[in-house]
Amino acid sequence: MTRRTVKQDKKALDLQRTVWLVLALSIGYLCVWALTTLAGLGLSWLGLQRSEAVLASTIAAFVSYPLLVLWLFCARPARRNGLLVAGASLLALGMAHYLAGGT
Amino acid sequence: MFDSARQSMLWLHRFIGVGFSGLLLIAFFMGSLAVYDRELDSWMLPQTRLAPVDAPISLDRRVLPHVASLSEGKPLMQWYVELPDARRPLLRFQAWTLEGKGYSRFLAPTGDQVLPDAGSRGGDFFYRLHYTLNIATWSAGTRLLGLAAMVGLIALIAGVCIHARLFQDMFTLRADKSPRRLLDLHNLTGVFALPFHFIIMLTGLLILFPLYLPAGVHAVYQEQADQFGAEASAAYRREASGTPGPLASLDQMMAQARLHWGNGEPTFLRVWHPGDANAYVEISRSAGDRLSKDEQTLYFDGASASLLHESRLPAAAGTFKFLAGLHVTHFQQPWLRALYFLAGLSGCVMLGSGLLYWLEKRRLQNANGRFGIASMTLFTSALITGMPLATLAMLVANRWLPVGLNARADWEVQVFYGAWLLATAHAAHAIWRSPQRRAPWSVHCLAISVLAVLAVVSNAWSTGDHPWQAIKHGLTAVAGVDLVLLGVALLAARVGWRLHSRSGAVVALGEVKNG
Repeated sequence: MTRRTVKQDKKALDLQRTVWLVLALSIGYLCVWALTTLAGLGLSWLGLQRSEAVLASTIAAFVSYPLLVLWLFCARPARRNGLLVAGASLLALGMAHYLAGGT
Repeated sequence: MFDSARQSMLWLHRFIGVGFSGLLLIAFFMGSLAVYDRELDSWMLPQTRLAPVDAPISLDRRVLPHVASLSEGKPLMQWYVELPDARRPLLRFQAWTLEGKGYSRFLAPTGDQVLPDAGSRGGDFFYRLHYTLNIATWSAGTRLLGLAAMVGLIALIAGVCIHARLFQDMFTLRADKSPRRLLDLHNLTGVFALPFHFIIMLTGLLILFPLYLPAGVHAVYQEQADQFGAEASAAYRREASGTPGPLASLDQMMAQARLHWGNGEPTFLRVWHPGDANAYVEISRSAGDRLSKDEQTLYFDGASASLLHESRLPAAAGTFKFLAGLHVTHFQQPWLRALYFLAGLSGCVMLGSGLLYWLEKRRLQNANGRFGIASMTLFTSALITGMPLATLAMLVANRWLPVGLNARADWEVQVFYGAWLLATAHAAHAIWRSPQRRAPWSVHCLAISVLAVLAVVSNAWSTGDHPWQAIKHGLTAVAGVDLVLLGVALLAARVGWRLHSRSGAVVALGEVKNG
């Protein structure tokens, strides 16, 4: 294998890793958005004051986001984990929309 | 893609570090300066240098009679005063008209003196820069810094996970081994203030969460998102009635507030709808003796001075205010503030040494090509020495620009950006001329040293408040800034001289080898 080919392979691999990082960050954000929405609505439905429900769910979201992204980026099989989290997040968002009175 | 989880974290740590260190370095450096924003105010606004007053201040006598003249007699929606404290012996008056026009002036705590217009943004410039980058369009600066803080948290956790010897790294600095010493310095400063770095980035994100993650507010409040702030801080609101009404004694309300809080002191007083029958007064407790930003605000009826409402924060809001308090450092314990300042600077060293280590490794491996190395060297140079140079140039300009200059505060800001640009241009020129694509570290360090001394001399020359005189007159903030500047000058001169000697030795060694 020539030096040039090795360099090109490394470039392609770096690009693949960068794309996966952006995906992990985006899927992680989608997931915490969905969880914050659902937790906020759930807590306020359980009788917690509205602002308290928002603050509690948001603090929890910010603490869990970095860990979620790390797990998405590092754990194997990455593709399956990503799809699973993205699917669950969309489902949670749909549920939240329904709970909030959307049609 | 990766052979192990550790390898993936290593790549992630390196990628985020190189990509976002620049933004984080600006936030950490300017944030560290902002810990001493009021002290910098005192240094940069000589007209506010007053000795502290021990006697209690009467707002009924000192402020109320001047409200109309300070706001050009216009009908006001609200006015407020920030009361003097241990760090600023002044009253700060601000007012907003019904049309939204603002007025802001400093008042001496005694007598009738209204201090002249500032002509400088003081420490507030560094404070705003640390979370907005001075980019207001679509809050782009704040959003960018939020992204940097979020990925910074991820890099920090990944950095801890890839460490096999976290505790040992706290005591390892192999100063004689290059580039290993840079990695040791990166580890040492990172581990030394690890909890601080984690908390400061997390709380920075939390404070501005409506911008970064408004999901909860949107879901729970839907069309009433504007009500969230008032509900979360348990605030009291009532509209103006439209009929005129009197205002009772503010001193009486402050006395009531002191009694209510036990040993708490008021720090902020706001009058809503002044002159209206529905006027009410908001008094907040000083957070100087606590970590939490919970101000335990009391609301009084403007006409009768009777207590209308006390804001008691429930659990989540209390936790949020505590976390916010950890970031905004309203507490006044001097040693804890100094620790914050040092931990902030250690964050700067961690980020800077990380960038330099990455660069030195690339240089050794001859990776990224000459252009890649040159551009990264320029980037690190603009950040590590360019930013302090710009800051010091601004301080020097603050003392040299004529007091009567039109838009003087804007001139100072232009000097800051101009000096930063100049330092970057000089670095680009030096890197281009250097065969090894080296940045002019020693020259920049020596320039930092000269500018720091020049700032102290300029202050002494223009105001007469040299450090000894400032201490004698009780101006500890001014003396403190001067002494820190002298410390910076000494440190930069020492580092600059060592780097200069070393580069001379390297050139001599090269000549021996070639000869």
